[in-house]
Amino acid sequence: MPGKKGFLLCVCQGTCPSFTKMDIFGVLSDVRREKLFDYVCLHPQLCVGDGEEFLKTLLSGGETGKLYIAACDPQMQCKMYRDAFEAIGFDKANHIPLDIRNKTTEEAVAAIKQLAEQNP
Amino acid sequence: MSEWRGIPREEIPWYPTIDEEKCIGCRECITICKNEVLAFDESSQKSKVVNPYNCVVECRTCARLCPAEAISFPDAAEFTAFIKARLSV
Repeated sequence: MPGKKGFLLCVCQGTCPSFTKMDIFGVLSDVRREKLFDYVCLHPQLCVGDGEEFLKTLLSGGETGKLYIAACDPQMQCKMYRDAFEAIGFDKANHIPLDIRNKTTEEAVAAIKQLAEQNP
Repeated sequence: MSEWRGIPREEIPWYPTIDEEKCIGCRECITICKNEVLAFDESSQKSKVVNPYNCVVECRTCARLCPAEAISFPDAAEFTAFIKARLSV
């Protein structure tokens, strides 16, 4: 698959109880240390205005081949990011979603590693 | 969530409002929100807000994904002004 592998963590502002069991920056550091992705980044709330702009800007250059997003429920992700992906012609099949709500740091990192391994 | 950035949660007017006429009783919002803000009212066969202050301040996901557009939140500009005033106190 041409293009870079990007990883994006979205944590509903970090205040939603679904993300308070994990150390958000601990997850990011552990994921970066694994060297699974070409880049790793965090957005507080992808599902709101500036979140959509972030996705469009991030993906508009066409450099990202696959975007792995650890956040809320995959179906919710697909619905909420659809407009942004369509606006810049990013194939939604290259959006690899993962639900990490209510996970500890270790559980979240393990799930992200598995996601990367199962979706090379 | 007892407080938000030092402000007692009950003093922050942020929670969903459901338009019962629009609500189609699909329960999508209840599935989406893990914080038990919403519940299904068997008598009316509609969703209803049961724990308003469990709602994550400035989260609008339920409204964003409601297929009937039956859920609304405070006006963004007005709420921003309210929050700025409270945070500057």
